[in-house]
Amino acid sequence: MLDRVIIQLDALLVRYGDYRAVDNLDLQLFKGELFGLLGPNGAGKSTTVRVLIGQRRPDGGRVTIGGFDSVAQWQQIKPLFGYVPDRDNHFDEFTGWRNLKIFADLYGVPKARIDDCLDMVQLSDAAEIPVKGYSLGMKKKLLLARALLHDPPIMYLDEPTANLDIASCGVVHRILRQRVKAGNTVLLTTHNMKEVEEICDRVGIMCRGKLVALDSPLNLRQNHTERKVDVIRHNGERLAFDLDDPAQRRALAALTEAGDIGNMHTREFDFHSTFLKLTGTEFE
Amino acid sequence: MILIRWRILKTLLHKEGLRHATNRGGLALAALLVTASLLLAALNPAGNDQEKAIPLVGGVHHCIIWHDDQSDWVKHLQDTVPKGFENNILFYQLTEPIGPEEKIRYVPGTVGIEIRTGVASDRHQNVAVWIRHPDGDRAGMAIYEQWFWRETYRFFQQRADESLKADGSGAELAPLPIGEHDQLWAQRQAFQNLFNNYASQAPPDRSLAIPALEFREAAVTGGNFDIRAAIATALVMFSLCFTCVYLMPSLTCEERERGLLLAQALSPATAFEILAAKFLFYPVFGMVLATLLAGIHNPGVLTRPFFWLALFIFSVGTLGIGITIACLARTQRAASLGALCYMLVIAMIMLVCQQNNITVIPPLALEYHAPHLLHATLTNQIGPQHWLNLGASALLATGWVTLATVMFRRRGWQ
Repeated sequence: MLDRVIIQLDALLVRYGDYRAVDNLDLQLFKGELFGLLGPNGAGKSTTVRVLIGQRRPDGGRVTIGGFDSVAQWQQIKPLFGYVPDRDNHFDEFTGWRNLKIFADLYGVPKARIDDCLDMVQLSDAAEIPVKGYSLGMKKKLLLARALLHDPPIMYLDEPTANLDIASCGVVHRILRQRVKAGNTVLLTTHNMKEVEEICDRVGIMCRGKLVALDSPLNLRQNHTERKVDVIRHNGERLAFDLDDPAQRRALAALTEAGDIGNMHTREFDFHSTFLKLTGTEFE
Repeated sequence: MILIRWRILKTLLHKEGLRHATNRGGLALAALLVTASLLLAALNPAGNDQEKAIPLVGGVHHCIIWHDDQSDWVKHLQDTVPKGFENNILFYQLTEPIGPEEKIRYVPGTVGIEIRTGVASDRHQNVAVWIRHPDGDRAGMAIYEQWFWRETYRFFQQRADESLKADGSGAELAPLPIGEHDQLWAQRQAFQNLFNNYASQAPPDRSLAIPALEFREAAVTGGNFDIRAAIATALVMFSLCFTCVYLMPSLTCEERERGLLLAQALSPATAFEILAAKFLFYPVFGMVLATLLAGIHNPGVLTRPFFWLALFIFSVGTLGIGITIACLARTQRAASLGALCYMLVIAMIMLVCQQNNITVIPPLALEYHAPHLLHATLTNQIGPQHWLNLGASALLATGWVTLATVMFRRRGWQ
């Protein structure tokens, strides 16, 4: 198992003055997994990502990426990851192709790879258009193409599908799943619960700098689905029955036998509610 | 160990070039500067008569009284400087003997009265008084001469009177005739009359208490700018300030504000390589532009090592200023305004110091030495003092680069 660990956070501590933005966070990310990091405002997600991309030094603890120490061996870590920020940062005056060419040259990647990446994110037709003419979604896809240029084993994505239409979301999801399938690691922060459930292998929920939940979406569903039945009687009265309580189970059975139920349904797993329950805060 | 990889550097330099090729504001301004320089060369407002150079800034703001001896006469002059002129009339003692025909160089806006003690005769001392007035503006000296001659006459009249009294003569010498203060011939005649009257009444075996003054006048040397060279100097200075102090911080802060610096920092390019590309691009761009402008004015300047040395030092200095501004400013707007404010503040300090005779502060600014250096180079009048300017500029440039390095380490561009 240990040889599968590609990112290791040991008691990571990041302070802003007296405030602990990340408070002794222990986390392992494995090769070939798509990890979703969630949390409300100020939970410490962005700070954690900032540490991972080398923009913030840890105040305590240790971070290793690909076996390299994030502080002492940063230059070795840089080629290992691609980063998609939440806000686009392109040279707007250049075309999409020119933007990728600059970074391809920095990475020492052949020109053919630029076309491949543009093709992957379905921007080949817009390659020669200045980026200032791109829609928000196109800019987001160009960010993904840039992050893919050097085929990194790790990708960090901040809200990768924000502003994307359904078809483009599908393209991004497909690319991410393909990369994971090829043994790469993807860490994404998102507010799209559906996205987390659909594509993430594991989910970490942060609150006040700590990890309050860490599991697969399936296990989260199993552990946090409420076993309750909502009933509307013929007279319009609304009732809820907890199936884990034998007395309430019997009461529901009696009501069913009496035929006094106008409508009845079981509660579905609600990621949003689960999130609120775990963090005790409004969702970001 | 800090290494710069050529592949990375080339890409970053190419990127800077492409940005300017796409956003043509900088190139348009460079083209305008070149056009202005070409027009200046073609229209040639000063003509070929370099002797009739026109002062860049009109008016006389300082009159320097040069003297080689701290005599009672000089002390009297110092004690009787008119109210309100304390900062305009300056007394400088010559530290080394200067020949009777040797010329003192003046900075623009200054005139002088040179008191040079000559060889003594049997009975009296000979003193040459040189009036150095603005070229083509003899009347520009009037206000200073009026005071100088009045007090000189008064001092020597009093001294002659005292001498005659001491010798037992009751004769009194006439005061300076009213209305003849600013006419050189009248002053010469009045003092000559005073000297002759005194000499005739003094005992023949006694040395005379007042000297024989010899009056001379000429236009100041070095006090005028060649207007073409002055404008060319301004264009060259502006090109370097514009590229390194304004354009570089502004575009760098724009990259930071838009997250472009972060994107580059996360690529294999190191912070050192990103900085090196900027350091190389902007000063080189500025130097090429400056060379073009200077070459249009005077192609001969390109063969002078002093020009290249001055240009290099000034480029490095302005780059240090630019980086400091880029480190302090958070946004592109702040950087642009910061650069403009810096240039305005420096100009204001220079003006205030010049008007108030504050001589300590201006040499602390790179912008004080650079025009001297460039103008001297463009007019091929490089003197020993310009090497001092060059040394001071090198020190200041080193200071700015050191400050920029410290600022960058502390605040960074991230």
